[in-house]
Amino acid sequence: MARYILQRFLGMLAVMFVVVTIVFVIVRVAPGDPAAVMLGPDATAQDVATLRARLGLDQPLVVQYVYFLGQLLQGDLGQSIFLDRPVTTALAERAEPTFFLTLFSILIASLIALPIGIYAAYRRGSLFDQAATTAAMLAASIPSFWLGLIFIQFFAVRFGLFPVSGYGGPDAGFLVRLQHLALPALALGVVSSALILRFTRASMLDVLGDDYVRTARSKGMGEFRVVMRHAFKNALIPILTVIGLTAALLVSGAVITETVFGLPGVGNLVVSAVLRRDYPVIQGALLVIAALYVLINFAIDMLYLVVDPRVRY
Amino acid sequence: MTELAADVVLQVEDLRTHFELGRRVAKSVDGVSFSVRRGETVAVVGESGSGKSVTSLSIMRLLAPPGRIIGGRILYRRRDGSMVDIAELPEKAMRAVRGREIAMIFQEPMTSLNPLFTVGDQISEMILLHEPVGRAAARARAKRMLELVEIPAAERRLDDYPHQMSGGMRQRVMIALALACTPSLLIADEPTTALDVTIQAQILDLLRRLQAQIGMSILFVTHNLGVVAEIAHEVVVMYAGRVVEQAPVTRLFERQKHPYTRGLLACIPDASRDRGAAGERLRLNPIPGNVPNVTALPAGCSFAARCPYVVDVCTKDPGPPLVAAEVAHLSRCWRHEAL
Ligand SMILES: Nc1ncnc2c1ncn2[C@@H]1O[C@H](COP(=O)(O)OP(=O)(O)OP(=O)(O)O)[C@@H](O)[C@H]1O
Ligand SMILES: [Mg+2]
Repeated sequence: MARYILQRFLGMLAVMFVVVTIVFVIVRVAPGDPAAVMLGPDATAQDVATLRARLGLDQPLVVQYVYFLGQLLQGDLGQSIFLDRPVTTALAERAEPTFFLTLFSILIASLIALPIGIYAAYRRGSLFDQAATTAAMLAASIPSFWLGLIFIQFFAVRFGLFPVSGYGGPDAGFLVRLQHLALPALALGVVSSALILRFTRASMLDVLGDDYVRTARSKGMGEFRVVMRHAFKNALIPILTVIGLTAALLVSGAVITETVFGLPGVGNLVVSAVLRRDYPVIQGALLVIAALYVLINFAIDMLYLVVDPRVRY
Repeated sequence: MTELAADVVLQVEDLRTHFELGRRVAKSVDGVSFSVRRGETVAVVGESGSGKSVTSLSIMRLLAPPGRIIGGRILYRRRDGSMVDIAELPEKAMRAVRGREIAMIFQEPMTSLNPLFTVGDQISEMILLHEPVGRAAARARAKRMLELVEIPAAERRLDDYPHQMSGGMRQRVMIALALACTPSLLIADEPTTALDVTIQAQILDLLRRLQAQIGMSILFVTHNLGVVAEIAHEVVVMYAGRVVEQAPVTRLFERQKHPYTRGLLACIPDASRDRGAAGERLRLNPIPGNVPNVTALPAGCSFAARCPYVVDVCTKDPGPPLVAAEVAHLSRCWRHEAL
């Protein structure tokens, strides 16, 4: 098993290397010269050339690439062009809202999706099942930003229960932060619950008819125990996968939600970086998100090992 | 409900279990009666689709919808001596019977155990469900059960997962599981069909010895007449959801009072001499024609279309009743006297 984990770890490094390369190339070949953007329309060609030299943009791509890799290995994502600080610092400052937003969204999504999905499968074809399936279809087709706007309009503007926007002041306490996260997490949670619900239901339907479930019943145990201990545990692997992927999706989707809710997270950082051609920041954010994807996948694989004794690579 | 003879553990009376499939109804079990005495093995035989499994699942009350018991009684003598009708027993009371008093072994040894729990856990779970013992005691009993079904290195095997075992081993585990609470009645639904012949013989041998030790009754469902000859005291022959013949095993092998049973046994040269030897050769004889669809049974006797002895009356309603053709020998055939 240790060998398997090592293998997976090396695989992760390989994937990250590919991602790093792709990100590097895409960011460079995208149109727009950051030096020109930085200096504005009035700058002379001379000024632009000087700045390009200072940023190393005048070097051949290969040289830039090698330099970039070297920096990366030291944990250095470079200096932001506009923010006057290292990219790692900029990202770290913005990581907290994104992290908690993702965490709470996934929690809310799972809390909605798991019980409903399990019960819908258990009562397949019932009114409850049909209602749940229909609701999931609706929820999946709602854009989260639109639901977010509705929530703001309703809970924040009309009833004043939650703040309309932002993340509280710089030294706001945890409860205030929580209040600011509530609506966006709810909006994201509701929308993402749809996919998890559908997977939970399908996965449960798969296992509920299995022979060992009948065996469990034949032992004389109650239905709750049959469903949760014997069926649900067997249905768990696809469900864990979809929860993990949803989490990864949420991180990359944070751009929109954070903009709607004015949260100073990574998504917001990326939006302003893109508008200003702040290469290092875009690069850094993309890499962090990719790394998160890879890590989540790795975590899911490790969970398989825990859940299923047959998974022994 | 005191009309059970003293030594009868289970008495099925006119059981009807149907599946409502849209507008059609599958009458999978339609008026089945038989009884099982203490310490006795009753074999239920019949071609595929004759309703053997549905009968077993009805007794366990494990039918999945749309299957439903729509009539009849399943009288069962509980361990405390009280009599219940399983067909009407509230689910909660039924749970105390399931596993503890009536246990079942299923047709599919490869898939009947939960892949995510060790076999020790799966056996202990049942003991913990029904008896006021601690985990350690339950585990110790689970180990004894594995020893009982002759699994070598039982202590170590307790921590194995099902996928680490062969089909024969898993079926032994299923038997160990079923017997863990020393049930009064064991329902074995083709427990050896999926196994190869040597393992099959070992398992049968094991069941027979365990039955003698524990003194339980067995309802044994099978396709295999060799197995019947080897293990059963009484044989119930089912066809299209009904009992067509019933008799003690030796008598049935000597003389069949229903053309269907006769057909099943036709190509066996001498069943009674051959018994015990590789049961493989005693498989049900294929009878020309097909089992009628239980959603659209013909008028009269369901077997008429395939029957070499058929006469006019056979295809007219009402069909033949189940009558005593001889002492302790029931037949559902108009012409049983001519057979
Ligand atoms: N879930 C179900 N839905 C619809 N019909 C069913 C269902 N289960 C069983 N039946 C019908 O009931 C009849 C009897 O089935 P059963 O499984 O009892 O046969 P069996 O005698 O056990 O056959 P086998 O030897 O193949 O196990 C069959 O005709 C089958 O079509
Ligand atoms: Mg069957």
